[in-house]
Amino acid sequence: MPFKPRLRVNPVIVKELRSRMRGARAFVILTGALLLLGTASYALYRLVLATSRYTRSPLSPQIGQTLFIALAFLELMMVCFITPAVTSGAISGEREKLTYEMLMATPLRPASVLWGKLVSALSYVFLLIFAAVPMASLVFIFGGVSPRDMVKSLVILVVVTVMLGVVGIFMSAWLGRTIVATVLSYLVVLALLISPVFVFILFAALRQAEPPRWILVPNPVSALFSALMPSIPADGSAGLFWGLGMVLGGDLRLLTGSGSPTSISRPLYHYSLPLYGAVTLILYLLATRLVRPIQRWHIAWKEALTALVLFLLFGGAVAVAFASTADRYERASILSTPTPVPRPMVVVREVVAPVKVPPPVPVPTEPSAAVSPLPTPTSGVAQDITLTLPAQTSGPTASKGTLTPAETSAAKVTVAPTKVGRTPTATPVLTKMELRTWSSTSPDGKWSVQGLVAFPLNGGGDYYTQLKVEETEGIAEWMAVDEWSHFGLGYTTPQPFHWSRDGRFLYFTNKPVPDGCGVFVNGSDLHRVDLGDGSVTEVVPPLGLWLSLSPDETTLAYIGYCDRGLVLRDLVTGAERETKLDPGQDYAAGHIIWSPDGTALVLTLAIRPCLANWAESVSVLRVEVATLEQTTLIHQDGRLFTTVGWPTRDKVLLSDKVLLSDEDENLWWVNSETGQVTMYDG
Amino acid sequence: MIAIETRGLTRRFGKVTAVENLSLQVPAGALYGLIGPNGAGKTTTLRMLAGLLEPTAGEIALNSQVAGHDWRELRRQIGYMPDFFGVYEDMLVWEYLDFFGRCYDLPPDHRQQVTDELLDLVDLTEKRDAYVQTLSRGMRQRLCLAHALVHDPQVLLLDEPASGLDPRARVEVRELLRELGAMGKTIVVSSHILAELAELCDSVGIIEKGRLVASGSLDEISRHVQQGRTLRLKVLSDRGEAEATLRHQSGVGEVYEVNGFLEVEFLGDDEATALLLATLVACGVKVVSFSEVSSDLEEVFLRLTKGEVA
Repeated sequence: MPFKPRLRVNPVIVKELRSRMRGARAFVILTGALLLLGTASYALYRLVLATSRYTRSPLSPQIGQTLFIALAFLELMMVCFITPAVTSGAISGEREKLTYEMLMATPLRPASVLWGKLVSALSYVFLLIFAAVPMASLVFIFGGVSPRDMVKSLVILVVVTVMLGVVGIFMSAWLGRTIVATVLSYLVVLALLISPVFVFILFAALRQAEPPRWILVPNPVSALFSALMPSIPADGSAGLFWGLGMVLGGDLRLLTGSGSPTSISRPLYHYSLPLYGAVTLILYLLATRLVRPIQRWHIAWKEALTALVLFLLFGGAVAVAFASTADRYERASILSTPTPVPRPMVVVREVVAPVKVPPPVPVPTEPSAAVSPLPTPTSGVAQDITLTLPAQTSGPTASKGTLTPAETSAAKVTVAPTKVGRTPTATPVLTKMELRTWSSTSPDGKWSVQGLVAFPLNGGGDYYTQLKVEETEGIAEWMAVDEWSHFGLGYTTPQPFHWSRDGRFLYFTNKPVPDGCGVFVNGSDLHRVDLGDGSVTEVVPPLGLWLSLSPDETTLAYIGYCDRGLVLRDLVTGAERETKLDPGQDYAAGHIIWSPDGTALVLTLAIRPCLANWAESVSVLRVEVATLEQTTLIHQDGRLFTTVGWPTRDKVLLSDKVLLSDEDENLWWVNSETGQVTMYDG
Repeated sequence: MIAIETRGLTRRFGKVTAVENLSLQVPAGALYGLIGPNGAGKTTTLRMLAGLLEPTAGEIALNSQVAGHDWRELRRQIGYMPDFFGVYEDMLVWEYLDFFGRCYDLPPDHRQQVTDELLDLVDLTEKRDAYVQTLSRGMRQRLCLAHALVHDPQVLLLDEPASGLDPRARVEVRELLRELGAMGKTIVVSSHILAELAELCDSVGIIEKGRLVASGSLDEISRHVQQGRTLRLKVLSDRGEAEATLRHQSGVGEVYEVNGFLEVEFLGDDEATALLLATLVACGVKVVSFSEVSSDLEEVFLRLTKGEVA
């Protein structure tokens, strides 16, 4: 028979699409799904608005990120529950309706039947996914999400859909009865969604240790979140992720697997996607055998060869993908141990550093209007400038090799200090970038520090951060932070933390991190710049929330991750002591204030945080440093006090508005022994 | 020329043997009836012939081509209509035929033509744009028959095409088969009702418990079976004496008494029959009537299948 080339559409696809898209049903379902997604995102939008009113974080990108991650999650759930339904009846349905034999009596290849069924069923699910893309694109209005994130989430959704589709169709071909196939497919979905998390928790509970991340690899939710969250957990991602995590009923860190906080590991989805691909391939090949009416396991060498080639191609593609991204993830990352800090002899002073309006950044073009300020632990005045710089570098010192995005990696590398003159700064090629700056001055007025973050205006993948310390009267200028980072869904900005008493060091945090839903914002790691030579040392890696340095600068108090409570870390030995903070309810802790003599701490517990008001009530605890004994100074008070200072031995300063912006705060005293609250009298 | 030939075809389902050592030959252009009681193995045989069921042993040849790994190509020569079948929901009648046209890889213009011709053939033209699930049972049966014809196969395998139809619809199906037979197609049609096939088929195979008990034209089969004939006689004198006399004659088998008649199973030709009568009379048996019980196909069938017809 002479070969006549002509476009031949798989008959099964034609037939399936004809009947599936006939009438109103398909469109009603599509409309319903979109309405559901729309309603859910609107509700979430209101929720985000309600919770973020009380944080000082930039609002708009947070809304965008939260909406996006929620939409992606909802779509994933939709996919997980729709896909098995549309595919698990594909083959068994034909068998049950007694149409299968007629189909098999035709010269149509059984594999074509399978393929046709799969494509037509999946194209319907894809329609649901892609119909939501324009709606998901609305998050670009808010910003905070790059098209890359959207592509990543779509790729994951599509791969998960294809896998679940193949699982459904395999069950259908294997079991022959739609009911059984459907039940088993859903069991597989539930197993993928629940069992990794369950095993993870069980492991953690039994071993009392951080479980290995790979347990979570099969979980599609973990894969999705690992793609959308920054590579380091508890990175500067907006607090609302965490809030969202609570809303969705689980700690996101649990879903994405936290990994070691000091190394940059591959996101989980790098493993999940190949796993899904392999499962898809194997089940599909098995299903092509199962649909055959006769000669099921009579495999011709040609078919075996095709399967082998498919496996090799797949393995090769995965290997190439891993190899090409190897240097981004597998390069050794910096893991420094706490460095002994010399004991200074000076005593307490106010932690809050005075703030200076930043010197104007070199702006070739006109600066545009300021946007909302970034959170700074030092309550510094921030200034936002959008500028477009010429493409070429400016100034003779702009020769640092780490400044082009092409060479960047997610690895956080502590940059060697550069000493430059007061001549034009080594600002990298920051064309088409939105810049934000903030600054503060040392208590003795000798030094000022300026932070800068530059976002690509086109929403691209990498952003730039800088922390520069300058002598106010001299020419010394140290680059403490000078790095490009991958822009996941969130970003981090280096923040000045504390000027040492002896005037030798500036402590700063590179990973300011909100807790829970952004109730308390402070650093999670600690670095310091030696103001004498500009060298940067990591004092501690990201440890927890609300780092607070003792007056003698030898002990660090913070709220540990994983519900560790209050942790006291000796910076000389690295030894830690901890005490649980358990008010018996959902809580967030922070605002750790040391007593002037360093023998006690007070801290604020927000009870049932993340509600419309930032918390339902507030407790103030006093903890003895020596014994870790806890005293409740204020018990669940509705006035929402926050501990802000401890100037004299018996009086702790409280503010009742510190977290509620825009309103005048009222200050109060609380007696550090009796807990008696009095009006602030100066 | 032999269109379908099976050699030692056997199929077992676990311990049950559905078809055992079945060897049959269907000449090209023949209308072959496969007759047997329910569960005799007709459907199993047809499914194996259509390449839907793997034989446990034995082989199948279509137009002298032995079916092996190339079943897919052989399927183009076969039209198969199962005994029980479903129809796709949400599908129009023309789309149904169009779909199978696509399955057989017909070019688009040809597909349209074939669809219209077949709808005309099975008298469903006015139902062209109706949904398949709205058709009556008879119409569905005809549509299913039409689907087996889209690729103009030389061999048609029809499993109980008239089952569940009212008498009028049966006649229609029969007419259709006659028409198709006239087109020169080789048709294998199965039924558990002999009369349905008796006047239609050139040759029949009678299948019982998975075994082919007889095969050939109806005349051949009848003759084969009717070498033993049944004689019915009425005697005036003592029946016991008459029976005893009969039993002494050669060729006489069982003797029964039915409604005052004696029925005799007798093996012999007409000559021998005449001689038997003469002998009876000579022995003093008073014969009032003597006749041969005419055996129709149904009886042949019953005899062959040992009365186990459902």
